[in-house]
Amino acid sequence: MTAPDERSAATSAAPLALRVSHVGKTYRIYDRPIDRLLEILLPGRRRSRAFRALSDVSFEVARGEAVGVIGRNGSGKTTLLRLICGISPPTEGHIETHGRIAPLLALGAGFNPEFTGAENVRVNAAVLGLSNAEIEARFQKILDFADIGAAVDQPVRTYSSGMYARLAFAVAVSIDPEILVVDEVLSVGDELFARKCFARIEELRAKGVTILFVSHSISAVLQLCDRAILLDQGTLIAEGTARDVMKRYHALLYTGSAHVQRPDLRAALDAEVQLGGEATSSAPSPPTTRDDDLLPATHDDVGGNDEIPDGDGACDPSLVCPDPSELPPDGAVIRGIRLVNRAGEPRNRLAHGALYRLEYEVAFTRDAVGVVLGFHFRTMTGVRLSGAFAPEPPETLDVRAGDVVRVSFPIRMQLLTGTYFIQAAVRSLGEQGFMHRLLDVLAIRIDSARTAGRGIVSLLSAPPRVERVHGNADRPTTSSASVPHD
Amino acid sequence: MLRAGPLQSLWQHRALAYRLAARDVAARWKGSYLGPLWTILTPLFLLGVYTFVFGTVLKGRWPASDGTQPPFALVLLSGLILVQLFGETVSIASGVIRGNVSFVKQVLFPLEILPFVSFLVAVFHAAITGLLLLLFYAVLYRPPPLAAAWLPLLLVPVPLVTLGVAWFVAALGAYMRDTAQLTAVFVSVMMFLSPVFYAIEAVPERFRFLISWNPLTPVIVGVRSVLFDSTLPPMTPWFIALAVSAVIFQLGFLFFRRTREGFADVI
Repeated sequence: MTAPDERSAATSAAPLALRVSHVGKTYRIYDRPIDRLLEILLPGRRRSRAFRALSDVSFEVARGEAVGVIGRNGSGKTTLLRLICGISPPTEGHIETHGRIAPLLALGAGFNPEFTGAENVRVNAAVLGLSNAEIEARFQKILDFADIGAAVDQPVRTYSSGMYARLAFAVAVSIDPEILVVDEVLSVGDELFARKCFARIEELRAKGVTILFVSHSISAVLQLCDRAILLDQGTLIAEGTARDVMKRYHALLYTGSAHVQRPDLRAALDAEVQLGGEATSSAPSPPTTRDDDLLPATHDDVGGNDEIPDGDGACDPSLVCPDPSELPPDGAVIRGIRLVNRAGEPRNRLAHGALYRLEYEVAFTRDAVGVVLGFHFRTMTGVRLSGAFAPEPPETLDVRAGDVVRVSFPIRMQLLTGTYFIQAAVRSLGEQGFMHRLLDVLAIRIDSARTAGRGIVSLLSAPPRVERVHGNADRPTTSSASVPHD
Repeated sequence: MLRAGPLQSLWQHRALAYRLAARDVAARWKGSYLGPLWTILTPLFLLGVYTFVFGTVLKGRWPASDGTQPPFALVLLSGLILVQLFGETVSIASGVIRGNVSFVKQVLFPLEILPFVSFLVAVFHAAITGLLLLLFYAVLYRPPPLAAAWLPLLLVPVPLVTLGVAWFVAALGAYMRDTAQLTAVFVSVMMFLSPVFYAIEAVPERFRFLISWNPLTPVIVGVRSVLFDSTLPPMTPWFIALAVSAVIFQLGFLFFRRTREGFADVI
């Protein structure tokens, strides 16, 4: 740590920690490594093909800010971080940094599998730039943080990948950086450890450390970062509050905007976000308070709650499944599937706690017995969350060729913030396979209220209560001190 | 870091280099039964075999100027240590960039110390052998002469030429896998083109240039002279060797620094 009072500096005067001006990076692809050497030693003739990884990226980060860097795979995030850390030089442009940078681009650089955890901690800390005295002073703290017990005296090759990550992260954050650059390294290790890492990063942040954070985890970026920048194909296409940029990122992911011509992409994204914003004005909640400030759900009403607005009011055209697929129909065709609000209007941006209906029609082309119609919600990673059949077995339908059946599933949206996919299927319980099945046919996005809890689904039936049962009754039980919210 | 000269850079990162070298030395013992004992056993076996082959079988003789007969194995070893120090450093250095990808790609790391780390590892082994040599010298032959005090000074060109070549080979090794093979050949050639197994006087005059281009040659000649003739030899070749070594040192470093920007692209 250099300046003791970085926090106030960061919030008020906001001196720069990092300035990236018109930075571009072209990697050169060499067919033979020796060509790279010859190009250095005998300049003049190109012996390579160019690969443009970044072009004309400019942004600034004030001291004490936490900025998320997001984008799809191959969008240039890691390249950008490597340039900022000084590991490779930019091809053009200029990067200005103020303060000691800790690059967490990979955990455990230089760990030797034959050595014990403790030995590797010392070497790794030295590699990261600590002096011997500094290493000894922090050694115990590092071990405490890693919390791997007696394993520190075992060779690292005997470690699980989680233990390895814990130890490596513990060293990496012990170096007291002024700028911490984290590249998606927290995805290893268990949930508990990830929380601990986050807590440590939050702690550094509270101390005024500037943070640059690459992650694919939406909640991690929203939790940690004030601002975010969005990269796509090497250019910076959005910059702003973490929440806004995340929206654009979603639009990017689910519109397949990669096909849009480059100069149009930004405009296209703006238009999409704009569309959502305009529609909001007709929704019950005013534009300034959408997102976080949607009315908290009151869960005590089993039947759902009429007052809860049913989302942003728009059916966001950008929100589609990236990879819908369909099994060939075998005697039935599902059509007209849609999710509607209570007024019967199609919706795909939903509010936690509100009521909807999932509807579709099935046209049968052959006779069948024991037929059920179903759906389920899945997470983006494919976890089945909830589903149902209609009619509910053992009751079933018997159908004849030419029949058309309409089904409607009433839904009270209990899912929390995130993007989810819906699939629908028709099967005859007596037969193998499905009569028709649509995988990931609809995508929905939930923007849930904070009070609804954490995770994928809320089990709270009402807002939580806490009261002091022992102690000084005069003190108020709660205060509104700002603690980091997750 | 990039602009600093070789000595400055090594000095600045010496603590890190020592730590990495200590780890590399220890890495050789990890999991072995005899552990550190090997650092002593290896040169002991070497000394034993040399004594038998070159002393007993080949009946090598190295008459000292004072008429005594020093054990031939000691004479041999005094030259061999230096050539092996060079050879070991350069062999390790040839793979050191490819062997530390994470240092190249993922952390800010003073890569130029990696060949220095190889050198430190080799120095550690050479130092053990050197101490054994002096011990056997005193036990089997005679107390070291006063002239032996010149030894540290005489050795100065060794680290210079060794590091210079190590930087060169390390950088080349990043770009060409063949460097390891080339280095192995080069090191054997160096071994036989140094006056290790023979006295330089034994080489016909017209072939002597083959031996004397080698900056290690005057050092070996000097070391033998102070140990076995108790006097310094004519020093002109040594000063030339010092100058050549210094140039190699600087050039090797410059080559490394110039080419390191491409390491990340090719490994």
